[in-house]
Parts: sequence; structure tokens; C-alpha cells
Amino acid sequence: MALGTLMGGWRIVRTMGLRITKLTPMQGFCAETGGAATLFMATYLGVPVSTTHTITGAIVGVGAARRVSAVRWNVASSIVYAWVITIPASAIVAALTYWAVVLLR
Amino acid sequence: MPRSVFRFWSILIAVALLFDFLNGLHDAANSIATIVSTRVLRPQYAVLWAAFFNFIAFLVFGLHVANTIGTGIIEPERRRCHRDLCGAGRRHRLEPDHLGARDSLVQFARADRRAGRRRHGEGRDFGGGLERPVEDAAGDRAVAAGRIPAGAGAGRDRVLAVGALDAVCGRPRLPHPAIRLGLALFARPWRQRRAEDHGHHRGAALFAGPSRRRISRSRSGWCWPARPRWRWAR
Repeated sequence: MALGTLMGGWRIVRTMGLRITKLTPMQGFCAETGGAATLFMATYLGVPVSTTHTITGAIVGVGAARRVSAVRWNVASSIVYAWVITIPASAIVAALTYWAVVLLR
Repeated sequence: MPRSVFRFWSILIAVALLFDFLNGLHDAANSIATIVSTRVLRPQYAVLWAAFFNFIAFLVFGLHVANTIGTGIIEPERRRCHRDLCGAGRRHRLEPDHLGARDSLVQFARADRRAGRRRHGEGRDFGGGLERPVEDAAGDRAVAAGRIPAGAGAGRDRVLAVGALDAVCGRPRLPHPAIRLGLALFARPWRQRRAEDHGHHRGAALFAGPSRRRISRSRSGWCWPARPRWRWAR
């Protein structure tokens, strides 16, 4: 995991930390705390919620709490579109992989 | 442990490690993004921090989510991939409903024998008086699964051996769900006239094409009054 982060996570760090909204350390702390609390609730309920979703939502929330226009909404909405597209896309790819494995075996 | 099972598990673990690498690339990056971009921690420390707590957290919080993903989405009884990957054979070549019979003679005989069978889950009873004993049904299931050739048993089943074996060897090698999906989407009229059809073979037929009869008629140059008897196209 650490290896993956060190190899190529920097673009994501930049998107999350700089492009959605401008963050101060205090806001970063609030965002992390809010995301972590949401994640705890989801874990307690057994819901598989991604860290990505909670943290992104928390960052957007922190930015919008200061001023609604402080959030770059086009960046945030493109992230949401990516999430929506991801689910059926990965389902299709996984089904294709399963069939490929069964055929090749 | 058989060798194929060992290979299966090692491939599974390798894929899981690869997934973890990609997960670090995405999710760990997300979770340390605020810390790094606000310059609270230097990136190296933040990465070590994230890796350490990612590793250690399941000891504290248990495996709720892992259990949900592992057992909650797919029902364990219906998981087919384990059986398929562990080399249990080529069962999925056969559709269990048809008992592997492609030859029409065999189909009729099977339909006759299956008339009394209770369809699983429906609780209905097709054709009243032809109930069969339970051990007969078990034998049928073994035939459908490709474990024994039909006709291995004694009695009237012996006649069916050749057709069933032919069907076992000649079927295309497609997974069962793919076959079911294909049949549902590209349903043709020949499916509705099958010998053993008692209703549930009729699928969605989203892309129902022209019937087989019309295609093969045009191919063979056959026109209506010329040949009195219809033969199924193979």
C-alpha cells in the first residue's frame, strides 16, 4: 500500500488537497475528523464505504461551510460522475474476466 | 492439498497483493491528501503513517465489512466459481434443464422421463401420474453434471447413452451464466417447440431473430410442398 502511494499517489493528493478547495491545516483537520467519523459509522453498520468517498465528501463539506463558492464545483461534480461510471464499468470488466478465466482454464 | 488448488490460492493471493498496491495508489493517497497538501506532515511520514494504521486497523475494528463483501453479496451455495476453478470438470457445458440431450430422440425420451419431476422451487407437478423414485432423480442429476454417462445404470436408461455422450463432448465451452444470458436474449422459436418445454424455457427474447426454420429453408433451397416432413436443422 505504501509502495503504491509512493509510486503514483501524488496526482491524487494534488487533486484532493488543492483542486477541490483551498485547505488550511485547521480545515484539513476538520475534514479528516468528519470523514473518519462517517467511516466509523459505516464500519459499525457493516456498510462497505470507501475512504475516498467519505474524505471527498468531507473536504467538499468543509469548503462549502466556509463559503459555497469556495468549492470548485466542476471538479467535485466530475469526481461524482467518475464514481457513478466506475460501478457498472468494473462490474462489466469483472464479468468479462471471469468468463475469460473459465474459457482459458 | 492438490496442486491445482495450491495454484488457485497463490494466484488469488497475488491478485490480492496487486489490488492492495493499486489501493495504496488510490485510497491511501486520498486519506493522506489533506495532511500532505496543508503541509502538516511531510509526504514520507504521512505515507508511513497511513500504511501502519491501514495494516493495524483490522485488529481493532474487526472484519464487519470484509464479511459483508465476502459472504453478503453472493450467496455461498450459489457460488460457482470455486467449483469451476478447482477443476471439477466441464459441467457447465451442459444445461442441467435439458439433461444434455441434443438429439431429438433422446429429448423425447428424456421429456417423457422428466414429466413427473418436480421443478425445483416451483412446487408444481408436471403431468400428474408419472412420479419417479428419488434415486432415479439423483441419477439424472449425476448425468446432467457430466459425472457419469447416461446409460451407466440398468434398465430403460441404457438406450440414451450415445446421444448424451455426444452432447457432453460436442457442446461449446461456455460458462453456464453466459449460455443462460444468450438464450434469454437471443431466443428463437425453436426453443419454444422443444420436446421438454413446459413453459420456463421461454426467455426475454430481446433480440429475437428470424426462426431457424426460415434460415435453413432458404439455405437448403427447400420450398413448402416439396418435402412433406420437417427435419430439425443441426
